[in-house]
Amino acid sequence: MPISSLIVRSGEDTVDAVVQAIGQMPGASVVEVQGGAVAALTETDDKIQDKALWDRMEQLPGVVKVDLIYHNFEDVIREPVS
Amino acid sequence: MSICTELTRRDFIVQSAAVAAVAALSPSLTKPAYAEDLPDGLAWHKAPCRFCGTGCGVIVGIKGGRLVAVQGDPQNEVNKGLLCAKGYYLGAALYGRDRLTKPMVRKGGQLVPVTWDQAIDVIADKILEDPLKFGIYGSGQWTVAEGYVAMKLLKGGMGSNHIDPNARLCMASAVVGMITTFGVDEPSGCYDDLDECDTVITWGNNWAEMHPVLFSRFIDRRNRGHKITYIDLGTRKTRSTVAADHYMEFVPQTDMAIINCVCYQLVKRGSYDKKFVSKFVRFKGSDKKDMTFDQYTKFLADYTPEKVSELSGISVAHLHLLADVFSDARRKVVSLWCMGVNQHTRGTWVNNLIYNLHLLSGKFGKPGSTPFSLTGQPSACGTCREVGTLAHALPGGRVVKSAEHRKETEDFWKCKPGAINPKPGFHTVKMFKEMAAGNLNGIWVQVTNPAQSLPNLNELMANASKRFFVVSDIYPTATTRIADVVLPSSTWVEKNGVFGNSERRTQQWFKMIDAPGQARDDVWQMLAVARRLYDKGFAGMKDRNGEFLLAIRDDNGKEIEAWKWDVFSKFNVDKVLFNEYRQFTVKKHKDIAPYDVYVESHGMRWPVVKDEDGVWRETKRRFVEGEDPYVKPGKEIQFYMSKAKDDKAIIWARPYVAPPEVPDNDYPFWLNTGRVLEHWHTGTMTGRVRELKHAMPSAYVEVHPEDADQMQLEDGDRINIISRRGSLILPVVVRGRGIPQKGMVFVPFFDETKLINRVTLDAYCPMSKEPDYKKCAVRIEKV
Ligand code: SF4
Repeated sequence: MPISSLIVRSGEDTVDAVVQAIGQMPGASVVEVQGGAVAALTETDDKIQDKALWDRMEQLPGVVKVDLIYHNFEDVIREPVS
Repeated sequence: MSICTELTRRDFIVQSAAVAAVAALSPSLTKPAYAEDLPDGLAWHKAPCRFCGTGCGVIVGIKGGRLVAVQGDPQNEVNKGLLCAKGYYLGAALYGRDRLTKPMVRKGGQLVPVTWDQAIDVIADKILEDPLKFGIYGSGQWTVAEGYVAMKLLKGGMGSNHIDPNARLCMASAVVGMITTFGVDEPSGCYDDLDECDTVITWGNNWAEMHPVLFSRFIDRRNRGHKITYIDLGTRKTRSTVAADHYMEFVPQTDMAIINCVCYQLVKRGSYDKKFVSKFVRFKGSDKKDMTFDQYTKFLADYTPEKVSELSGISVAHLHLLADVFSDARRKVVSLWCMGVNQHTRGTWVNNLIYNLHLLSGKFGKPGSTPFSLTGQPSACGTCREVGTLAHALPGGRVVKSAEHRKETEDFWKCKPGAINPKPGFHTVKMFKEMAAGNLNGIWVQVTNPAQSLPNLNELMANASKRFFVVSDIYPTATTRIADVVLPSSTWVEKNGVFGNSERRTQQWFKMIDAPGQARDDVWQMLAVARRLYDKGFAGMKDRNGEFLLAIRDDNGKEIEAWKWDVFSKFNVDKVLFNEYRQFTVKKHKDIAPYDVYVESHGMRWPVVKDEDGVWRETKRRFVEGEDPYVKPGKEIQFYMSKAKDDKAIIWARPYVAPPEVPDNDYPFWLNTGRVLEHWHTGTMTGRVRELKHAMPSAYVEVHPEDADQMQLEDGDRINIISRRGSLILPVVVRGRGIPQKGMVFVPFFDETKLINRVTLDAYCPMSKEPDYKKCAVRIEKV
């Protein structure tokens, strides 16, 4: 299960709606809010779902940018070629 | 492992992720440690990101010999903990199923596995057929040591100057622009200026997708309430445009006239910075003759707002607004540019023109005011520009044409006197044309993919590909498919390395994991070939004392057999090469510190000079008193590398010149090409990352909505894009993430199954030899 954290940047006027929307996304949670920026956490079954979650966050009304911070994918890494 | 331990471990990871995000959110917080003391069971080590020239710091989590986690480095000032999508998936890019793991040689039309020994022998024999007709085509993704060894092997040992990097295709215009204006290459400002400016202007630059973490620094400031005006000048609306206060769309190539028009207004209004101009600037015409200020004023007379508005399509009001910004002495303005300016048949001149604007307005060398040329690749600066892996160059800002520079280099390398050829080699486009013509017999390609990224591929590659190609890479590419020898390489944290980013920041990392199969470092590959040439009696591989030219010595001065993999792999050859290269960097005041200083740091910007108290000190802004140690007290600003030795920069009178190919009745559209956020250049690495491939699977063509209406095109319709050189069928996107101007189509070049470079033009800037990928004429037909 990949575990990731990211910062979702929106305006201060839209941040409440962004926090609420992230809270309703399965696999996502809000860690902290500062001004228009939201620190969020994702725990998903695979990396496609992980990426899909932050794509959804990026498309939320008012969101200007999503920055990625931490990405642990040790459970889903493919076997290296030999 | 018990469920209980599993849960605990998972909790630790969740906690680590949360702490990292909160730390990145709060720049003032004490940064978390990244070493092995985090309770997540991973060993964490620093490295710069493998991808773009922003040069973000990454912390890499290793478990059981595998890379299993990445996080933005909170202690790295470039990104302060942030990463973009490419950086986020750095780890996955290493683990594609089709990594190259065995050396291969073409036999009977097929690539067949051979031993390393056999592959090295084939290459050495081919070089010995005619060393002067053998070239190296390298990369802005080469580490410093890789570029340095390639230079020493080819220019010091083989007497050939036929080495050029793919960086010729992305930053050569920036280099020549800086050298002609300031007398020396590389930006004077730094990323800190983005934290202090009140105005950002992008000149044909989509930084939201191409330098995303820098864009985040700007967005973050805005979110924290800083008022920053953002003006986006471009030929296509992009994701960056969404954040702009003013979008100014211009007819391709008319950036030259627009900048001259702003200068015209500054002079006419008398609002230029008179003190700065009189103290620090000289004027020259394009005939290289000195000009008076009055003559420069006369040159500008052609660029009235009315005339330029008609030519460029930008309104007179917007041209006035630009002049207002540069007239206001209190405004702190950062200009940013990258491929839109550099990949231009007058790329050098547009670079000069942006400098003109900042010099004339005095918006230079002050915190928050700088012209800043962004770089595309992670070490285009550190390797191509500083080591000088260009056809005309030698390390540390030297050139092969100069007898003094050749002698200095021969002395450093202990080559026999006269070993270095005074004649510049072939630049990139010429290199492939000369291969086609038979004037180069063979080429060694490392860390790049010219069979996809060169312009006008049908012409440049068709005959060149019949020559001898050695390709070192990590995955099969369009170029390995035409190769005679394919060498499997280590990449990024599978080897030791040093990169230098856009803001003169040198960053070091150690090898963290093994490369798969028999893949080996590019440095080793070149040392092994050099030694094989030596063993075969090739005189060029002997130094003036008869010893191996590329000898690697340990701390006691004893030579080690670095050409043997088991010796090389246990020794930090990078450190030896970096410290050897260091001696070249002092001449042009690009001083770098000893290797071990970078081991302890998260990157330092050169010149790095030792303080009286013994501390190595970096330089944020070059040419500025109090910041740059080479500026003499009382000088304020000193362009100490000016060719005329008068400490002044040059404002060049550069006229508007029409592009070589413009839309006409037969080919009525502009074609513009470029990159996308998800993929790194030709997509050979990011295309192996499922998530990125899934997000951006294949190429498309963006069409302006009005053109689409007129041609009755909808999303998903297929059109044939036809130029005088080739054609390509692609699906249409009408309202995608970018909207080209009316009369233009845009195609990304990452998709190796849809090569848009069969359509592009190979015309290049006559000074920098950098091709123009941003404009040629095409027609489009619905299929
Ligand atoms: S902005 Fe560039 S250097 Fe930074 S994480 Fe993204 S690709 Fe890497």
